[in-house]
Amino acid sequence: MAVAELNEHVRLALAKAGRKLAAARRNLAAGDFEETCSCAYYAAYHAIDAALRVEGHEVQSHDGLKMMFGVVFVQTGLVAPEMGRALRVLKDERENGDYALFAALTEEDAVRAVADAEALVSAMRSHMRLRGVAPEE
Amino acid sequence: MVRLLHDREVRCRLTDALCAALAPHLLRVSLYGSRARGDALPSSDYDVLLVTDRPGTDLKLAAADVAERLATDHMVEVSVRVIPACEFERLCASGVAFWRKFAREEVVLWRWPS
Repeated sequence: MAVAELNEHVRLALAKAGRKLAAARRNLAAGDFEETCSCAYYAAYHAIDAALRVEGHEVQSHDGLKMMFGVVFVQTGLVAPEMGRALRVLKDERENGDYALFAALTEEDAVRAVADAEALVSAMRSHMRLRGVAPEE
Repeated sequence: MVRLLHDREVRCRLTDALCAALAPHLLRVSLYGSRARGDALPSSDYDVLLVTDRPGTDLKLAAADVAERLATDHMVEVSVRVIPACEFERLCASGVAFWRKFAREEVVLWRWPS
């Protein structure tokens, strides 16, 4: 991917992550905890996807993104190990919320999901800024 | 250095680690999906359902820690669902297709009291 194309991709992905975070906060305030968890996950997803592209990795699936996040960021110490767990829980709860197959999500789940998504987006933005590609907020 | 594990070793380590991390609230550890049916690919993840004696974020986080360690140390992907016993019974009796399929393919790895 050319530098200009990568910069544009990162700009759009971070903007989308920001919109998803805002939607997660709105849903939390409205008491819709399933939508909160779904939006929180997608906020993290878009930020991580962009950061992985900056590192030269294009993932094709949600499982692929989770695995590559572990390999590229967690196992190398670029982010705290708790971030790996946070992404794992966000992904599982997004699936719980979207498919309604398991236990209902609680306010406690939703509050944590928003906090974890904010931390993940912030960490990815900081990483990309260090690599010289993330736009200012 | 990542050490790859055989399927049987994964099941043992996973069960032991979950029992240690979630005791005394863990009631059942079940495998479902392709690993339970026996048609998994080498890259397939392990779908695991944990039944606990109470709901709780702390239990979900403890289970996620176990899954994260297996991913980091052995490149094994585990998707863990934690569900309280009362909810599990309700869902199993719901007749929803997912839960009918779950009942057919479930492999119980551990059950209290074992």
